Parts: sequence; structure tokens; C-alpha cells
Amino acid sequence: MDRARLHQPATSTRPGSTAPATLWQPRLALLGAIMLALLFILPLLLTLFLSTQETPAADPFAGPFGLTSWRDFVIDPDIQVLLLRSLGLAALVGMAASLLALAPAYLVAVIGGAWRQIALTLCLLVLLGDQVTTAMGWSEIGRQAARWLFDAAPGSGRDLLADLMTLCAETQRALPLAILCQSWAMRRHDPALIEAGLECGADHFRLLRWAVWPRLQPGLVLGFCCAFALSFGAALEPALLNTGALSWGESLRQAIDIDDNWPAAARFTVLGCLVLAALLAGAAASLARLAHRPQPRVSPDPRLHQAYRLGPQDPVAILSIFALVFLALPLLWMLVLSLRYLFIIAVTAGPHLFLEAIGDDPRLLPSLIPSLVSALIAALLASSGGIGLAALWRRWLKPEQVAWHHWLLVLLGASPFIMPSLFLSTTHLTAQLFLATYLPNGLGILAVALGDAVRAMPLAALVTLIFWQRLPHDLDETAVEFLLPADRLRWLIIAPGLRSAWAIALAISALLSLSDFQLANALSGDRPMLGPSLLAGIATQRSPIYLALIGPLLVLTAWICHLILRRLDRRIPIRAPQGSAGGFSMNITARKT
Amino acid sequence: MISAPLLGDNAGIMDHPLLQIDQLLLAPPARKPARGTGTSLPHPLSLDFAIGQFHLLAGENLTPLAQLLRVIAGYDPPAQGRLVMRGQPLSGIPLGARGIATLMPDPRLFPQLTIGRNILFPLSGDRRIGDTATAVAGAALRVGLSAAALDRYPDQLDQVTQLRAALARALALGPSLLLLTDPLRDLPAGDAASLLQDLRRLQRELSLTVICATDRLPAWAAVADRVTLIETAGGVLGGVIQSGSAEEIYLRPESRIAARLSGAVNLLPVEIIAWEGETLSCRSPLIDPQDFSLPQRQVAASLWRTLATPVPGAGMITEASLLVRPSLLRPGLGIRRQDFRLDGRIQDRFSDGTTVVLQVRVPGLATAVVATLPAPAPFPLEQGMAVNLGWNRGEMRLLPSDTTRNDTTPPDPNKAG
Repeated sequence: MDRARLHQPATSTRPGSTAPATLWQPRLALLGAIMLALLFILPLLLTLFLSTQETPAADPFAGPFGLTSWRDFVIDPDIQVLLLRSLGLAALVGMAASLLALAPAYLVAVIGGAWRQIALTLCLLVLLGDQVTTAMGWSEIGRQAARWLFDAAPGSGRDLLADLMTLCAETQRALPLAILCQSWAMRRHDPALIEAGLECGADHFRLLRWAVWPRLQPGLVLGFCCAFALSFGAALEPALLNTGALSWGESLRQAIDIDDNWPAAARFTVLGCLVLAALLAGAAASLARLAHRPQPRVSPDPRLHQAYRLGPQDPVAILSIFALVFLALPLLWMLVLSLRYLFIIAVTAGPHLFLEAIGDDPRLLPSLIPSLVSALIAALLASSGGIGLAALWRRWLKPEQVAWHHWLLVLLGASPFIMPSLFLSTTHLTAQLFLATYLPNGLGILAVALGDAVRAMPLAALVTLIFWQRLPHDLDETAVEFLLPADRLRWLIIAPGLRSAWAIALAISALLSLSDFQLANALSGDRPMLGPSLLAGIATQRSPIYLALIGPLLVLTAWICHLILRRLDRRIPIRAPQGSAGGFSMNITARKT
Repeated sequence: MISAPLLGDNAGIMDHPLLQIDQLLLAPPARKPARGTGTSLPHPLSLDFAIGQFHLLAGENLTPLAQLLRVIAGYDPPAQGRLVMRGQPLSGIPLGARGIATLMPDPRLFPQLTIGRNILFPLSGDRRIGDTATAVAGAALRVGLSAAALDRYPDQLDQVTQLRAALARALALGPSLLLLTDPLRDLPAGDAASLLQDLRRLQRELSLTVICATDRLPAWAAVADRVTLIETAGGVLGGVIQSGSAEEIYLRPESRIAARLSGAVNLLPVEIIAWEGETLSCRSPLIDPQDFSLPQRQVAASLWRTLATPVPGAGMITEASLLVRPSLLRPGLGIRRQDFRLDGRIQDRFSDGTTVVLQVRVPGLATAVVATLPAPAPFPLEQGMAVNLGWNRGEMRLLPSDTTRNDTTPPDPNKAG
């Protein structure tokens, strides 16, 4: 018997192996590169250009240009303090998210089963769900906590509580990315070591330390970077939670919304991007070191999970429950709040009046149509560009030659998603301002769609990449063996198989677009969009209609996330008709799946 | 952590089985296999394993046997049936709390820990052990690990040392049962022999119950107290083919598969012409003498039983296979008058220095007859040379042929221990 089969369960994915060469399509990669250049690099360069404008006038690109403004900006003690404070807070959030993510990531990567589904659904819900609702949830929790703690003795404790709640809110928002990154790294663990540890009577906490931790480094670094970036550019949470001191993101927002100082906003953005670039370079170096380590043998076998029972007294179970409750807390809070409002409305007004009120609302329905249109355009662009980006990534991530600069390029491609949407919205706003010289009417909701598309593109690429990795790795050889032309293989076999990836990428991009606040707020101009409308309805006016609607929206999003997850878990369906050439026939369905 | 009832010495319960497997199925019974695929249907397995013995589970395919050990260890649940250890069902007891340790070809040592810390790994979670350093040193010494090896990392050591470390770790918590999935299969012959001796010594010293799954019965036969041959055709765990001591199975196999598993075989086709009381009259045109009779003790029990209880309308069994072990064949001058003999021509000859292996083409026989002689050969044996091979009348055994009914039906299919 093949010795390896004792430990190696059957799996369709061979870690570290390359996809068929058929998938390398220069035209697709070119599409991805062009979209990345046009929608990410070019706005970034324009922002860099604007940041050198000497005058703090509201008129952008009016000149004169020079480096004096940059020198003043950098040596400004207030800016230095702000930068240090924001870096410290972001590092704190990064560390908190990384620590909290350990146990849930272990659940996802090692334990599996129902735990994995719950954890991943929650992660997707927070990642793709409405930002305003999540931030508002923390705001409500903070308000309630302040009522309990400080009603009797008001004082400076409120500021401390606001800071704490901001920290919690930013950590919670960053937690899904940290969990996903860490679980990606943990999936490279050696199941034989887990088995050996379990046999020695070790609990899962010890296994996390001894069997999984050595594989964790890249996921830990990447998760930290994502959490750091999210916190560094966060503006919504500090604003809603009334944090005492300004953060980097809030200062940037003030420069745009209150001061109308576009060059200053550009400088905030560029410096923020430089910090993130340095961080990503470090992450790339860490990932490149990983490539030189021996590849793991297998991914975990679902059968093994029978032995991986997680006892309620296991520290991993306790920490996981804590982390998942933390992740779900603001959403649950808002759900309960929404149900309460729904109940009150149902009792006092009835469903008919409720629907009438929704129809009469001046923002809700008018903002829904543009948001849906924008989301649709963004989803189409992102899923197309995502395939191109995935083709580029596949090219750069050849296991035998992944160098530091390859990882840097991959992370550059992922930057539109990793970087705070406030930074992205500023760069796109700068591009809008630049275009305004030539396009008097602007791009309208297309501007929002383009911003959303480039933000969702890395996620779409990731989904495509996951599906490509599941394709049989010897499709090319099989095609050659049976004299099947590469084009036929590509369009008859691979393309139908990637429909699932396309559908998931569309759904994820649309959800991300609908749930975004910053881009819609910055780029929509006077047009009403869903994100800003929700913020106005929930936070500013505390409209019962909006608060009642949050619950059903949350449930709907959770259901969509669950569906996405189920489709992501499904094996790639290769249902090709029998290809034949040269007198031979090939049934790839039977042979490869 | 090992639960209390599973620990303790073995005294006083030696006559009870340590482990009982009752009607166990690894996978749920699948639909009937397609005709001609050769896939076997799973067969519920029942076995007892006596305490303090070295049990060998052997089959043609190691995969289902390895899966069986995984189920016993607690990695996978059985599809059907139950496991009972010292009278206590194992179904609710998780992996690691069953008092069962395993050793596989892969040592599964933590690469970032030294060998010493690997051995310490199970001990550090056990608060009963006070002086862990002494315990580690003792565990290492017991399996023949040097003190210097304790400070080294697994990748700095050869595989046999890694396996010894894995064995030390496995034995550190004093398991009641050690499961081996043929851990010696990838080792060089010398290392394998030395580790095999140590395994036997440890098993005796610790009165440990060992179950070893293997597809290489001859390699393990020397240390086994009890051998159970299991049907594993098509990668599916079937029923028990035969059980007994290794010597018993080698000398008196009950089927062709048992004969093949227990060592090299020559199977000669014979025709059963009559069955008279305690003897069976047979004929084979390949053998001199062509007509001969065999006493019941030289006939497989299953074949005898089939002959004794003929199925109405099925007619008498006429085909059988005569087993002659290659090591029992003597060429030319060594043949005595009363011996049976075959005439043929040497097709191939090779020697490893200690033995000479002859492949002899016998007219009328599809496959070559193999003879293993001690080196040097008694006279020059060259390729193409005509040769006579002889064997003692009492050294052959009649087995059911492939077409015989109940070819692999064991005399007592339920209990092997």
C-alpha cells in the first residue's frame, strides 16, 4: 500500500501545485492589469500630484505645486502626534484582532463542521454586511453602557468608554479578515501532527500552540496588516462613537467635508498609503520566506473531524465562543432593536401603514434604485476584472519561484480591498475632481460603481483563484493525450466550471457595493445612495422605519452569505460533453472529478 | 489523559480479552458492486484480542486494516458495530482517552521540538508524573534512544531513531494497547530487524497488548503470538480468513490466499478422484507419482468440509491446488525414492548470497515453479538446464482451488483470539 495514503485523505486540491497552463490567458490578465491601473494606480498618482499643491485652496489642481506643503505637513507637531496616535491605535487593533482570531481560525481550519459554517457565515456577514449597521450597533452598545455606568456619576469616564468602544468596533470590523487570513495559513497544517497530539491527550489549545502555530506566521502577518489598515483609515466608527481625540481617518474626513482642503486630504491619503505600503512590503517579505519552506502534505480530511471533537471545557472552545459573540454582538444588538421596533410598528400602525411610510420616505426608495444600479455595474466590472487579476496572481504565484517582489505585486493587486475605503474614496474623488475639468456633468453613479468595482476586484479574484485551484491539475496533459484543442478545453470545460465562481464573485461584489458607505458618500454627489441614507436615517434621525428595516436586511444578508459559503465549498462542477478528436474520446467528467 | 478504568496493571484479567470487536463495519454497506468490478462487499468483523499478546492482522491490502486501527484508536467512528475494551464500550471515549497509542511509518514528531520535548509532550499534560526529566530519560532508554538524541530535532535524525522517539512518546503514558500500522515498512532491513526485536522486548516487558496491521506477514511472523488473516480484496474489510499462530498458518493454511500471505507458494493443480474415509485420492499429470492419496490432516478443513457436505445437484468437487512451499523443494541428488517430484527446466536463477532461487518451467504448468535453496547450490544449476525437484510426502497440503466453493470460508469465522 502506498504509505502516504495512511495519512493522506483523498482531496482534489494539491497544495502548492499549479493550475493548468490553459488558464494562463494574457488577454484576461491584461484586462485585470488595465482595470487596476485605471481605477487604482491612476487615481493614486493623481492624489499624489494633488498633494503637492502649495495652496490650501478649495480649488483643486489650481497650483502652484511644490514640496513646501509636504514639508510643513510632515513637521507639523499636531500631524506627528495624530500619526503616532493613529499608528498606535491601529497596531492595538491589529494585535487585538490577531489574538481574537486565533481560536475561530482554528475552528475554521482544523475543527470544521458546524463550527466552521457558523464562524465563516459570521465573518462574511461582517465583511459584506452594512458598515453603518455594524458601527451603529457599537454606538448603541456604548450608549447603553454609558447609561448603566455613568448616569449616577457623569465624568471623564465617558471619553474613556467612547475610546474603548471605538477600539472594540474597529477590532470587530477587522476580525473577519484576521480570521480568514489565519485560517488560510492554518489550513497548511499537518493533520498527522494533530492526530499525534490528540493521541497524546493534548487539548486543542496545546495543538494550536504546537501543531498549528508554526504554520501560522504568514496568516498572522497578513491578518495584522488588514486589521491595521482598516483601523488606520477608519472614520465612521470614531464619528459615530464620538471619540474624544481625532484619528487619521477622521482628520482626512474633516479635511474633505468641513475644510474643503483637497490638497491636505490628498496628503493625509498619500501618507496613509505610504504607511500601508511599508506594512505590505513587510508582509510580502514574510510570505516570500514561507515559499521556501516545505509545502504541507494535505489539507484536512473531513473524516478526521470526527476525532477532533471540541469539548466545552477546551480553551479553544471558550475563546472561540467569546470571539464569535464579540463578532456578532453589534449585529445581534441591532437585530433585537429592529425586532422591537418592528413589533411596536406592527402593534401600533400595522404592516400597511409601515409599507406606506417606507414608500413616502424621501430618501429610502430614491436611494435604492441608484444603489442597485451602481451595485450591478460594480459587480459586473469587479467580477470581470477579478478574473483578470486572478490570472495575474496565478502567474506571479508559481510555487517554485515566488519571490518577495511577486508577493508585493500580489498584495498591490489586493490593496484596493485592504486599504481603507476612505483612502480609496479620496483617490477616486481626486480623480473626479481632475475629470471635472473635462466632464462638466461628472460620472454620476458610475463614479461610485467604479470605486466599488475596484474595491471588490481582489475579492472576486480570490474567489476565481479558489475555483481555479480546484480544477484537475493535469487537464492540459489530458487534453494533449486525447488530442483535444486547448481552445475547446478552455471554453467547453473550464469556462462552464467557472460559472459558480463568476456567480459568487458577482454576489460578493454587489453586496460589498451595497454595504459601502465611504465611496457612496464621497462620490455620489447630490444623488441619494443607500449607505448615506441609512446613516442619516439610523444615526442622525433614529427613524423607527429605518431601525425596523435593519433586522430583515441583516437576516437577508446572512442568508446570502450562507448561500455564498455553500457554493464556495462545493467542488467545481466539470460537466463537459465528451470531447473527441483524432478518433479518441475523452470523458473528463468521469476521469477527473 | 487516560481514564482510570483503562489504566492499571494487567494482573488478574489475563483470561479476558482486552479488546473485543463486535460486528464492525468500517463503511456503511454500499449498493451491490457492479458485475465484473471485482469489488467486495464489506463483511461485519468480529474479533477478540487477548491481553498481553502480540496480535498480527494481515491481509493483501493494508488500507482497510489501517482504517480498522484508526477506528479502534478513535480517529474515525465505525459505520456499524461496537468496540469494547475491558468490558467498557469505547464509543463515548474520545481519542487520547482510550489508553491506546499508535505507531505508524510516519513518526509524526513535532518538528519544532527536540526529541526530548517530543517525548515530554504527553507527559507535560499529566500531573501524576512529578519528575518529567527522569520520566523522559527512562522512556528514551527503554526504546534504545541515546541521551544525545534527546537534544536533537527530528530532522537531524534518521528514520529509525525518529520511530524510536515516536515509540517512546507513544509508550510514555503507559497505554494498554499499542496499534502498529506496519511502521517498519520503509526502514532498511537491518534497522527494521533491530526495531522489531525491541518492539517484541518492550511488549513482553510491559505486558503490552499490541495489534499490528500489515500486508507483509512474513516480516512480522516471528514476533506474533497470534495471527489473524483478514479478507481485504478491493480495499474493503471482509471477514476473517484464518487465525492461529504464525507457524500454524504457514504450515497448515486453509486457503490459497492464506498460503500466499504466509509465505512463498507453489500451487499445483490436482484432480480429486475419490474420497474414502480419512484419505483423499488425487491425480496430477505433472507430478510423479501421478496418483497419490493424502490423509485428512494434509487437506484444508474447508475443502474437507465441502467434500463431506456436498450440495445436492452440484456434483463433487474435482479441482484442488497442491501447496508445496519453495523452501521445501530439493533439486536432483537430494531427492529420495519415496519423495514426490516434478521435472522441468531452469528458466531463471538468482541468488542473494544466502539463498539460491530457481524458477523452473514445468511442461503443462502456466506459471514457473519456484524453489529456494540454501547457497551455495549443491551442484551447478544453470539456466536452461533440466532439473528434478522433489519434496517429502508430508510437506504438501491440498487447498481449495479458486473455483472451489467456500474457498475462503474459515472453519470458525467469528473468533480469532
